[in-house]
Amino acid sequence: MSDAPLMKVEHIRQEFAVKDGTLRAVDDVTLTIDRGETVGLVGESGCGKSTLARTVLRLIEPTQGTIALEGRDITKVPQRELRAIRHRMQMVFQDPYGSLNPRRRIGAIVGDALDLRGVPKSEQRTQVIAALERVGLGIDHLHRWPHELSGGQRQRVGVARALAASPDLLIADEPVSALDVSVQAQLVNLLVDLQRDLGLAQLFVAHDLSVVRQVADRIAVMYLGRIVESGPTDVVFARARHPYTRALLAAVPIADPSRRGRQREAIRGELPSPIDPPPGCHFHPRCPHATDVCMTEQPALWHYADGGRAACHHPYGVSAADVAAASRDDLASPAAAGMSAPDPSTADLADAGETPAGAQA
Amino acid sequence: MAEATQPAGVPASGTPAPAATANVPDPVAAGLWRASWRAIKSSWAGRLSLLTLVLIVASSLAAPLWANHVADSGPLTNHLTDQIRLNGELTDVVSFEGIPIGPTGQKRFFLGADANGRDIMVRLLYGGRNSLQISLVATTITLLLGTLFGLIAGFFRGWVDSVISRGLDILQSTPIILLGIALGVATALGGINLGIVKIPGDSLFIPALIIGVIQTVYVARPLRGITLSLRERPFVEAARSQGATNMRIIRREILPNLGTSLLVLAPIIFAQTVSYEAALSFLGAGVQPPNPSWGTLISDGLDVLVSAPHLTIIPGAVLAAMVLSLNLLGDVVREAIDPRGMVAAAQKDEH
Repeated sequence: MSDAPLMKVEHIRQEFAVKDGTLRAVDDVTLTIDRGETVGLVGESGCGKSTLARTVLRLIEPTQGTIALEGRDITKVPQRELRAIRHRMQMVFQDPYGSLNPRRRIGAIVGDALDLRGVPKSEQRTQVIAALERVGLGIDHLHRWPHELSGGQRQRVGVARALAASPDLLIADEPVSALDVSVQAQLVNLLVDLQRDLGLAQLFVAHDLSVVRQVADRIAVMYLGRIVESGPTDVVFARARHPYTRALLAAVPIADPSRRGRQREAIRGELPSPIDPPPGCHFHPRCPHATDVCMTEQPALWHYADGGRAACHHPYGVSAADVAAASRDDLASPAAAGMSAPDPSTADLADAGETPAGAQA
Repeated sequence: MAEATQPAGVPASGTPAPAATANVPDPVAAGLWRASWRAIKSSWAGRLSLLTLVLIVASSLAAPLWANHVADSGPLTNHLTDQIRLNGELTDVVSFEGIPIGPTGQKRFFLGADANGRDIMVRLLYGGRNSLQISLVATTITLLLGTLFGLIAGFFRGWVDSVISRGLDILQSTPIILLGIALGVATALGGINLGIVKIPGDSLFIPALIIGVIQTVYVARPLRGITLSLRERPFVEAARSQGATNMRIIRREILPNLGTSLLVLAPIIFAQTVSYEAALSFLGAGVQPPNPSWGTLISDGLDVLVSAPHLTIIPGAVLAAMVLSLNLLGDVVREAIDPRGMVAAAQKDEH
C-alpha cells in the first residue's frame, strides 16, 4: 500500500455558469482523507459542501484542481475507466425518499453494486443479505418496495447499497438531516460502528456540529466555498480560532439550564451570494471583528502547532508565539503570495475569557 | 458540458428533501395494475365501460363462430338474389328497387343486409375484428416508438433532443388525417416494398403502421418531459455514482418509472387509434373494400342512408360505444394512478 492518503483533493474549484454570471460553489479547497478516518465537513446550506462531496466522486467535473485516489490522479480519467473504480468510493445520499428508485425492490437496489462488478447472480443474494444485515435490516426486506419502509430504514438501505460495493471510502451527504432526531442517533451509531468494524474512511457532510462531533476524527468548516477552519475534532471544539466556527459552536444547543445565560456569538446577516462574494475574507460582512485588512485580503489557511488550521486575520486565542510557529497553506492564486500573517494582538480583545460553547461538553 | 450549465443540481446542499411529495400516499405504490383494477371495479363508469369493451372484443373474436354456425354466411358472401323466409313469407334480401332488408332478428340477416346482400351482423363482427386488430397493432407501434423517442430525447438532451423534437414538430404540423390519407392512398396502390419486407396493398398491417407512426408524437412528447424530470432524481445520481452506464440507467432506473404514464396514455391512444382507423377506412385510405371494418361499413351504408339507415347507424353506434368506453376507462385509470395529473402536465408543457 502506498503512503499516499486514500483520497486527496487539491485546489478544487467548482464553478457553474448561471444566469447572472458565474457561481463559484467551491473555491480552492484542499482536503485529504486517510484510510479509516472520518472527516466531517460542516457548513451552512449553500456553502458548497454537497457540491464538494459530489466533485470528489466526479459526479460533477471540477472546474479546476485534482482528485487523487491513493495517489492516483483520477481527475481526467475517462468515464469508462472511472466506472471500474467507482465501487471504491460510495455515496449515501441526503434524501432517503428520492435516492431509492420507487419502482425497484430493495434487493435489486442493494444488489446493483454487485451486478456492476460482475458478481454472479447466484452469489449476489447472500452478499445482499449480508449487507442488509450489516445495517440492521434482514432477509425479509429483500423483496420489499422502498415505500414500505420508514425513512430510517430507507436510509439504512442507502448505506447497505453503498456497503455492498465494499468501498474504501464512504461519502455521506447529510445522511441524517432528513430523519427524525431519534432515528438520526441510530444511523449515526451505525456509521460509527461501520468505521470501527470495517475500517471505512468517511467524508461526513453535515450542517449539524453535534452530529459531526460524534463521528468525525477531523473537522473541516466551509464558508461560501472555502475551508475556513479545520483540524482534529477535539482541537476544533476546544480551540476554535475562526469567528465563524465559534459562531457555529455557539449555536449548538446545550442541555444545561444553568448555562442558559451564556453569551451568544450570533452571526449577523445572511449568507452572501456565491455569485458575487464579498472581497477579501468572505466572512467579513458578518464578522464582529472584521478590520480593514479583512475587506481587502483573503486570509491564508494557517497551520498551527496543535494541528488546527484557520483562515482568519484575527484568530481567537492565538499568541505571537503560535503565529511564529505556524506555517501557511499554499493558495492557488498568485495574489496570495504576499499575504499578511494573522494578527495575534487583536485576537485577545475579542476573546474576553469566553471559551467556545462546545469545549464545555 | 451539459452538467455544468444545469443549475438545478447545484446548490442542493442544505435544501430540504421533497418531503411534501413524499408524504402524499402514492397510489401507484400498491401496484399500477391493482390500483387501476380497484378503481375500475369501484365506479359505475369503470364497470360499464369495461363491460362494453369486453362485449365488443369478445363478440368480434367470436365472428367466425357466428358466421359459420348461426348466420351461415361469410363476410364477403353476396346474397343479392337470395330470398329468406320472414314471418312465414319469402322475402328478397335485396328488393327489386335495390333496398336491402332491415334487421330481421333471425339467425340469418340478424341486423339486415347491405346493398350487395351481405349479412350485416357478420360483416360487423368481422369488421370489428379488423378494426381492433389494426388498432391494437397501431397502438403498440405508437407506444413503442413514442417511448423510444421520448426516452432518448429526454435522457440525452442536447442535439439528440433537438433532432427528435423537431422531427416530432414536423409530424405534428401536418394535419393527421391528411397525412394518413396521403400515406394510405400511396401504399394502398403498390403496397410497401423495402426489398426484404414486402407488404401487399390490401394488408391490414399498412393502415396499422400508418396510424401507429403518425400518433407517435402524442406519446413521445409527454414521455420526454417525464424522462427529463426523472433523470434529475437522486436515484439516478445514485446509480451513476455506483458506475452504472447510460444504458443501464435507462433500463433499470428510468424505464420502470414510465409505467404510470404508459398505462395512463394507452387507453387514450387506443381510443384515438380506433377513431383514426374508422376515419381513414371511411375515406378509403385504410381498410380496402371489400374487407369490412367499422369505417368501411359506415362508408358503405352512406350510399343507401335514406332507404336503409341501419347500415350506417349500427356500425356508427358500435364505434361510438368503443371510443366512449375507452375514454371513460382511461379517465378512471388516470384518476387512480396519476391523481396529481403529472402525465397530463407533461403533455402540456412540451418545450
